[in-house]
Amino acid sequence: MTNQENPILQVNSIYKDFISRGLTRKGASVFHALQNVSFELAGKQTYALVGESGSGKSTTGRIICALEKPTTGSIVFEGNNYTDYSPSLLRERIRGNIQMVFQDPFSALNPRKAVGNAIVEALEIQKIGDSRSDRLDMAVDMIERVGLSSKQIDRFPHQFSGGQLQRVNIARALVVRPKILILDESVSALDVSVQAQVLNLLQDLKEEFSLSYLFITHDLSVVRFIADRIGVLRKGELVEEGTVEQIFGNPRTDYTRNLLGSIPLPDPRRHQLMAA
Amino acid sequence: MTGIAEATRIGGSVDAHKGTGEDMPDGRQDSGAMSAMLEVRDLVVSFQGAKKSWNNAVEGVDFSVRQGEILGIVGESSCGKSVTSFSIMRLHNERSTKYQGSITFDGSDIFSLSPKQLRELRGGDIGFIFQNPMSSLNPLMTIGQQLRETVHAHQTSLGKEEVEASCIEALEDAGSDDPKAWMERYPYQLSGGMLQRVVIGIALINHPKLLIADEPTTALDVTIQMQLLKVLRGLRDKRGMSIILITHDMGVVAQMCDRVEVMYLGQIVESAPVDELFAHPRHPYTQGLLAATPPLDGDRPERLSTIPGSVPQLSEVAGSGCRFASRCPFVADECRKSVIDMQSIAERHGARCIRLAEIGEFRKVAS
Ligand SMILES: Nc1ncnc2c1ncn2[C@@H]1O[C@H](COP(=O)(O)OP(=O)(O)OP(=O)(O)O)[C@@H](O)[C@H]1O
Ligand SMILES: Nc1ncnc2c1ncn2[C@@H]1O[C@H](COP(=O)(O)OP(=O)(O)O)[C@@H](O)[C@H]1O
Ligand code: SF4
Ligand SMILES: [Mg+2]
Ligand SMILES: [Mg+2]
Repeated sequence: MTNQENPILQVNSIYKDFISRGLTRKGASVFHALQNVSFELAGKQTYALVGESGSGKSTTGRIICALEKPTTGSIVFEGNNYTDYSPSLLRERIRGNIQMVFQDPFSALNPRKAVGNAIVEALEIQKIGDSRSDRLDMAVDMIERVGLSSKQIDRFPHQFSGGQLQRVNIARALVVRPKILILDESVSALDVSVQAQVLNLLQDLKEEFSLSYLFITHDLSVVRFIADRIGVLRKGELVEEGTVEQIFGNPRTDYTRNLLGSIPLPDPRRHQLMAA
Repeated sequence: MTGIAEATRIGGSVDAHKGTGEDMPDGRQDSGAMSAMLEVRDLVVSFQGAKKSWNNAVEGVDFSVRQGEILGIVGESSCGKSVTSFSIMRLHNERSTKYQGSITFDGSDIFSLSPKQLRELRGGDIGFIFQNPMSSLNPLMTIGQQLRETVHAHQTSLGKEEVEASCIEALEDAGSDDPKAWMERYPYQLSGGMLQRVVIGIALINHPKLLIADEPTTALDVTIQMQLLKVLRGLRDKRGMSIILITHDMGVVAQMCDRVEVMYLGQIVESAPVDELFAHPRHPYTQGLLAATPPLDGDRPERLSTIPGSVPQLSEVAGSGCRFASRCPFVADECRKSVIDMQSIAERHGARCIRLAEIGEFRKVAS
């Protein structure tokens, strides 16, 4: 895929080591969670990171969101290397531009805070809006934009279903008008009918707000629907990368082939379980 | 709308007719009691809520499982899949649960069994696998201890060597490559996929006639899921065991099951052999579920077709009429007027919808 513009985000040879001590009496051991991972996210594109559990998908997402620092390597947003930014510099230049939505819609929200207030608070942190009523207007707009009703703004998280609450989380992330949204298994916990609604919503919002997505998931049928490019992680290494057509049509590694071959096909005429 | 029509384009002729009253209510005239390992008839499960009120979680569920058959129960969360599967072994707390209807397993009436007989059944002739493997394992006991305990609970006469041999055999059947080493370990020393195999091993150890697997692979990677599905299929083929497989994944249903029951809000809304269900889904909910699943081949759609809204609370749609009416693209006044029964469509195929003919006509026009 030719993209003439500069990428909005560059991940350059990141490594992430976790030091664990305890369990084994031998002392500290180093776990290489990410090794030499590099890729680029083009503007207004969706890049999907896939791989087995523990392959390093979420770790990569957290590093890009600046919730964690890489051991070595750098991450560059619109030409600025923010790997070593101070917390205040991150808040000023990165947090408003790169937002993240997680898998469990409930744990991301404070159960004692009305969802409208949670959205207003996100604006306050980013110092967006002149007054509370100004921010409330923005929150209402965004709540409606994600398909909820403005009447629901005073409700608390337990009064929503999982799908509705994930919409609230998306609204809270988007209200500060980020350019990049990181979605870590954000639709995985939803029922298929609701998952389809949220995926459609994400496609619409991407157009409307010129967003770029980093989409982290283990569900390859969702990836085929939403992604432009795919990166395949295996034990902390990016083993393969390409367009959706390339990865699905012509996977180059056994690992990717095995991942693709393991998706149960919703067609009983195509038997996958015959071989022992 | 178009999405739903699209998903059913492959659907066949418009042959819907309303049940005549002489048909079996579920449209499965031929599922004779003789070959049924398990028969669930008109099961109603209600739980005691606030102020001593009783709320139905499952209403009028009817199905049977033959020997060697894999029956799928599919539907979105909170539709009553787990409540149904727990009821088969009466696992709900009976102080706050009321059962109606009947469940017959291998000739015996589950609701008249004594506590002792129930204990013998659980882990004996009926094995059970839950979604979270740790919920059925003891973190403080080795895998070997837990396997042996399950054998002893049901087969008191076995010698030490025989017990050991059946533990090893069960783990091997569950796909373990090194059963002896696994038996010495504690749960925390095994991965999620290995633990789920241990749970399968424990469920199999007393050679059950029926295995109930409630979302056994939902928490696992696709690659490990595929291995475990192969293990379960192989066990059916090798032992002739019956399996009830509960899942919300239409792909898992297609690959694993012989028959499928689609549940929505405490009721079975469609029941069919698996080929029939995927080729000719008739209930609007089944059609919607299939259409909402992102396709793995063919053109990539711009948008996915969806079912509007989300699963309501049962209390929100109580009263007579179709449970699916609030989300159904084909809803009409008549749908809300009276109780909707299963309508027979073809041999062993039924759907709980009174507008099957009209929906068929609609599809004809749409395609
Ligand atoms: N804070 C930490 N300390 C030690 N190890 C960690 C830490 N965070 C992650 N890891 C390890 O790094 C590896 C990658 O973890 P990560 O959460 O990125 O996986 P993932 O690809 O998102 O998996 P999943 O699909 O299960 O979410 C795992 O082996 C994990 O145990
Ligand atoms: N022990 C219980 N007491 C009261 N309500 C319950 C209980 N268990 C399940 N329910 C309710 O019954 C309905 C069906 O739940 P369940 O069978 O767990 O759904 P699923 O199809 O996701 O397995 C849900 O509305 C749930 O809240
Ligand atoms: S009975 Fe009516 S509301 Fe119910 S599924 Fe059929 S058409 Fe839809
Ligand atoms: Mg993760
Ligand atoms: Mg369940």
